[in-house]
Amino acid sequence: MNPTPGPRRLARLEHEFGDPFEPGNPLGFDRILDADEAETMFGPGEQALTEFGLNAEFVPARLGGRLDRLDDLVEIMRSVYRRDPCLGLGYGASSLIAGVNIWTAGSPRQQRSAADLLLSGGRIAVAYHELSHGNDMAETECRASLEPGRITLNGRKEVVTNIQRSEAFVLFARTAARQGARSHSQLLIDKASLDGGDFGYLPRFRTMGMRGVQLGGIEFRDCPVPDSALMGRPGSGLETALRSFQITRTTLVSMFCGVLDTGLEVALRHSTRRRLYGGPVVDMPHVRSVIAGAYADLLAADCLASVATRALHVLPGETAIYAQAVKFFVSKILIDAMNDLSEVLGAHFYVRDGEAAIFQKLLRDVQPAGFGHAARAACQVSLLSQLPLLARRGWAEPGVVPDEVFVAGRTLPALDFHALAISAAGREGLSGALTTGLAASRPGLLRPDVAEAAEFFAAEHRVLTERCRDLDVTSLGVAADPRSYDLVTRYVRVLVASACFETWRRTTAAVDTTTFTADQRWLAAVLHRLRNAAWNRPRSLPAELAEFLVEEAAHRTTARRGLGFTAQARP
Amino acid sequence: MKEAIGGTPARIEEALTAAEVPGGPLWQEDLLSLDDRQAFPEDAAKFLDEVGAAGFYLDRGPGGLLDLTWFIRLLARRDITIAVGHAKTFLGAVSVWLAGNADQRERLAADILDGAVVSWGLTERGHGGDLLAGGVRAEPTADGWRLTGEKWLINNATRGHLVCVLARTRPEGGARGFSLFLFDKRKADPRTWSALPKVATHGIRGADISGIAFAAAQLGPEALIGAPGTGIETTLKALQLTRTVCCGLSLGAVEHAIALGADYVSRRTLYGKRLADLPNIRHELGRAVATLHVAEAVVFAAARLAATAPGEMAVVSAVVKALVPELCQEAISAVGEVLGLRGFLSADEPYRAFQKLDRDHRIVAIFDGGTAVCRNQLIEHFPLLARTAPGASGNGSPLAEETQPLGAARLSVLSRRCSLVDGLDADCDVIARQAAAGELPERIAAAASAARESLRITRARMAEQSWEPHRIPQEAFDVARDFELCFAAAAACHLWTRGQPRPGDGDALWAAGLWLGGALAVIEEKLPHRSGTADTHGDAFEALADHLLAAAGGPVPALFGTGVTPL
Repeated sequence: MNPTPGPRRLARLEHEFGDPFEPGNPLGFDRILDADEAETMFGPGEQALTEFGLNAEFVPARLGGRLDRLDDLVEIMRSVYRRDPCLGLGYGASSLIAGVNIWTAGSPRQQRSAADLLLSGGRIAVAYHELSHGNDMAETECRASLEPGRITLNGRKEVVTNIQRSEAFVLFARTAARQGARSHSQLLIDKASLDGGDFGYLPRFRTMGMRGVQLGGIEFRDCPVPDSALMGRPGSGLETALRSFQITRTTLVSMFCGVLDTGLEVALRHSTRRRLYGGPVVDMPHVRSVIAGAYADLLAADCLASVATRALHVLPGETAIYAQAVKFFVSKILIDAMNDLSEVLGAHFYVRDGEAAIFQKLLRDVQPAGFGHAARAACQVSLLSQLPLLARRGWAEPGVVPDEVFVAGRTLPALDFHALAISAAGREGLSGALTTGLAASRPGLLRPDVAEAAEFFAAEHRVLTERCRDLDVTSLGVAADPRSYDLVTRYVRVLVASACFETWRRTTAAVDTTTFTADQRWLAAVLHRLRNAAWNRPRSLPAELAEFLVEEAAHRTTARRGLGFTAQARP
Repeated sequence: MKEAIGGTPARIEEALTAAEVPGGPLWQEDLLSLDDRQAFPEDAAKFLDEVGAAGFYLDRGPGGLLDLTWFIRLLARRDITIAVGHAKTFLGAVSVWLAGNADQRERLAADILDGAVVSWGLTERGHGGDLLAGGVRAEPTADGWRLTGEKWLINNATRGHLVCVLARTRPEGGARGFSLFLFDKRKADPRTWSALPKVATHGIRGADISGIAFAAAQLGPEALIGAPGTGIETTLKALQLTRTVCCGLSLGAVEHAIALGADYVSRRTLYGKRLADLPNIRHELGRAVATLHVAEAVVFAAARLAATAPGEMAVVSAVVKALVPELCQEAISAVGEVLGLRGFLSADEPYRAFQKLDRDHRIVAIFDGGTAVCRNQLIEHFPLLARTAPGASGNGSPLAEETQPLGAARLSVLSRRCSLVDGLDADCDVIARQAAAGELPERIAAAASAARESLRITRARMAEQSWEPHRIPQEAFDVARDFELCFAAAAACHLWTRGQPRPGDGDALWAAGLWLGGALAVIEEKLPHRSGTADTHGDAFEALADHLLAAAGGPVPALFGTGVTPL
């Protein structure tokens, strides 16, 4: 049975949660802020998500859930994140990460039981993290000794969402003493199977943002679990993670776009109502510039993340690259844009009550986008080591990127967890798509500023191809020269420029040209900011583009529409 | 002759350090826990009273502003809440130092030395920094004035014994329509005023950010500060001083962040390597240290110029308050990225002070005139600054000998020039000669020269800007920032050519232009014109990281170290 289409599910969720700005809304910002102050999860929100059946969004349709398109999943989760990122992470994303690993490596029986657990409203935690090793998963110390008939656990996991209140958890543990990529395994552990074993929960970890999320830890002391807990072959844990993380890194960061969406709406509402020096604040060109800039950043983030999300369906051989780029770029631009917007709110950003109060919570909550579930720096290093191969293969001879990667709403191939390649092996067609698309654009089609910026990034692609082709890969580890790190930053900017350019071009060619996505001005704005970022100069938009974006944002807010490309209707 | 700058480790630093032990009034655990509970650091405040910190808040004459700024920096290294909560008394009192009569000044000084907390009531609900929109009014009565209305988001409005209040004294308002009053709660009829509830804030959670409401509160004639109608002018002049002083908070915050980051990378091993040994991590930390040196040079210049060129403070204070918090927040965020999760955990975590200082520091860009307000003020000076003849430097040196006491008469709401920036040419020449003589790396001279060229470009763009009132185009804001960066380059170059460290106080940083190279690299990265030696900036950051990490565990090496005068 096909699930209800994603947009209809999303509309239902929006309807059930109502307008979060509405003061009397029991699922609105006022109540969400109360939960934040109390450092608890937002109870009524969790209940509403249970009634909505959010967990079903994480379970593939073949197992009775509603997961068939990752872009639908992201849109639904953005709608949660734009209200309360704690709900997004603490109710949703944690079980999603567990699920994706199980759908990737679990046995049919494990998949069935995990699906049943989630569909009945249960939680599955992901116990990967150890404070001493951070992103260095290969150094994981927590051990699972595989013996015939049983597995014995020793060691601890720390800063794990929902570890205590979940019914099951996925454990990443060392199963061989030797160094290397085949020394770890993932286990799906039903808490009931721990009964009588020697384990204990660690005290809760408190955090500056995401304050409601229940971050805990667990410690095992010769704790036995049945050998049926093992997922996949012994030693395949890291490999599974490398596949499944392509999905989770891409989609989780993309969900945070909802935070900036609300940040923009708060800034618009505040500056429209507030008057200074005899007029509304929103009329000041500087304020308009900041809002427009943050909106352009949201569009850049949304565009790259959406392209990478659809690529998980269409180009699973390449997403090992795109997922890292999304994590690296999107997290930073969202955090920076929230910082920029705080200036528009002035002292009101600093106050924890009043109608702008949600902003300071979101500013705190957005921070883990940068370090949670792999740090930006780890993704940068991972991309760094792949530069020479990319330059020789994918950049020199880019493969074709099909329209459905760029054009929203097209039919996508089914998501195939096993098709995700551990390494892209240098295959990557997205960054070169701009060069091809630019050449295919008929003269006069492009605004002069767009043409100029597109030429710049096409040239940048050529320069990087030359520069990176002969880099010594042994010098590109974590101890690489900062100038090499800078090549990754430049490369990712080209990827973003290309994703945006081609999204505009293919959409314009494919669908009617009256949609927002087909309007060349957003593209001009995004490229302008990317270019000035490359030159480390103020990214302020020209007045014409700033006006366009502020008017668009104001219009959508009034018309109760989301600010992303889908312009989702809102209550 | 070169003039010695900075100072020997002063008694104040010793006293503060001694108070940082477990159970002491500045014990970090307690300060973090107070933040958690949103409680004011009373013990710390009492301790500061006892060691005589109030002396910093008096009208101390030439050099006083620098001492105060450096004192605030030392406090902010430990805890921004206490720095904001205690040093506020200077902000409350400064209008009296500037415009009060001898009797008012004497009495207030005695009161402050006695432990009085003075607050400053400028802002109101609904119109923040727009002082001319203020609604609190003071009406003349037979025996003084009657005060009505509400001041909101006021630091220490509840704790304070006295509040300096800006009130409308002409119904029609306007630049001459406001006056300043010193409201003494202890003498006022308690039925005529009330403190407003503490406002919950993002950072400085323990600070007393509240407000005060006046209901026909009666003031004696002696409460008026300066002549009627001079309130706005005095306030604008006072802000020139307080905006400078506030930047001490940024210095302390960024130093604290760097200290946490340096400690973390020295202990943390990932991928089989100590983070402190990874070139990219060193690069980021080195840049943060270089940013600290830029900020030090700028704040030092501004605090000294208040005494040596007070007439230029309208420009200088706007520059320093716009640029320094912004640069320092960038550096703090960069350290935060190095700390990752460890800077996000707020309990049972050795680096959890980071999440507090990151929240706390964001107030600095907001209060006493936000970044946009300061840039506005700078932009209003564009026509004057754009046409200033270069090379006319002289009496505007922050290192000049002659110093003048604070006083409203010496400050001006409009600066005719910015002679520090005018001096960039001459200082660039000195640096170029030093590089030619092999005393400095060539890249430093190249960066200085890029700043000189950037200043030329920026001045030309300043001359091109035009606008209608309150409709300043964004482009002017961007040009203002470029001017601020040129100011920073000028401050750094001038400090280098005319200053020298006192022995033991940062002298290693002065060898072969170590700090100057880093500072100019940070600035040049953002300038409109660059020298083409950007590839070598990494060397400057690497050298600073070396210096920092060699000293890990001790204080962050800084240009001025603990340079305050002894109490």
